[in-house]
Amino acid sequence: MENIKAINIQHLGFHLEKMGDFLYHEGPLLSLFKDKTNLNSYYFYKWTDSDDKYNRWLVFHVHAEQLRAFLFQELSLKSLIFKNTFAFLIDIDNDLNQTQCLIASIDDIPKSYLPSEGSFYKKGKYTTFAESLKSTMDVNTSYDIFNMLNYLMVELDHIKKEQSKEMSLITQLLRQRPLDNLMP
Amino acid sequence: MVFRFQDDYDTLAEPCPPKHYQPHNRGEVYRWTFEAIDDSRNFQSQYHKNPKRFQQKSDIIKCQALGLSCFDNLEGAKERFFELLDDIGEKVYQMVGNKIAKGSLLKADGVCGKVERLGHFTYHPAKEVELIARFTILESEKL
Repeated sequence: MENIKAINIQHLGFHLEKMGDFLYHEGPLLSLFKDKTNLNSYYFYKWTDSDDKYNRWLVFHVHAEQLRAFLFQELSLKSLIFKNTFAFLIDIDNDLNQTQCLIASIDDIPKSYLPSEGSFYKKGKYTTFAESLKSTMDVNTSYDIFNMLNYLMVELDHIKKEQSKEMSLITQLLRQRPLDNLMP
Repeated sequence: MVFRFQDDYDTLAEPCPPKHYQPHNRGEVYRWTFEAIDDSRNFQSQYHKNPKRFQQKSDIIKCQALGLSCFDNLEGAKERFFELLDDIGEKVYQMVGNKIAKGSLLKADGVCGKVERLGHFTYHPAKEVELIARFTILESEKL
């Protein structure tokens, strides 16, 4: 295992719930977790290193928008990691006990732990879970646009009604006091 | 057919290998290996690398982990390797090896699942098959 310049913090300090595996080869290699206390917060667990006793996972935060950008190939996996200033490294022993939790600056993560520049999402490369999540986000985006248009239509209608009221008030005022009377 | 990991299959409530897995004359097949063909990790299932990791998993997952990943074509084996290299980084060499070995699988050698993307399939070896003798590392193929 690589030696890392990091601080041992014992545990993450927040609760994550596993959503599913993104990358799998005879076992999970990249898994998505959600932060139970923050709806727009996700974390990736990326398998990173191992020796006879331990498996090490790189844990890094992903905002919902960044996750969407990754799924739609706008951001690579590597760039998702570098959106953070720090990441966690969790060592798990063969008995599945977490033996160490480190926090490290992104700049101190060894190069051998990092994906390549070409680590973009690709259909088929990832699991059906990832593809389903992408479809959900696609639907949600359409839903968001629909909601936004709906909101704008209501606002426009409201503005028109307000303008109409103002116009009728002005007309009424003008009828009561012709413009000539208002002139100095 | 009696399988190499029969003792493990017998502990599972789910049928393993799954019923739809069948004997096939696959002909030439490819598997990622380490530097030497007799490296004990080459034909070790993921389950046997760390059985405790699967204690809480379903029988389906356990059965899946008792299978060996193979490819029915060289290009597919290389492409999938480079996909993992892209996402996991250099440590993928430490996990799955740095070589590709070519072998052949006949009907009597075990059962195989359906061929998936890039020619990947899962193989459950028969008890008697000697995989080290069946596979040869392709020294000319660089990973």
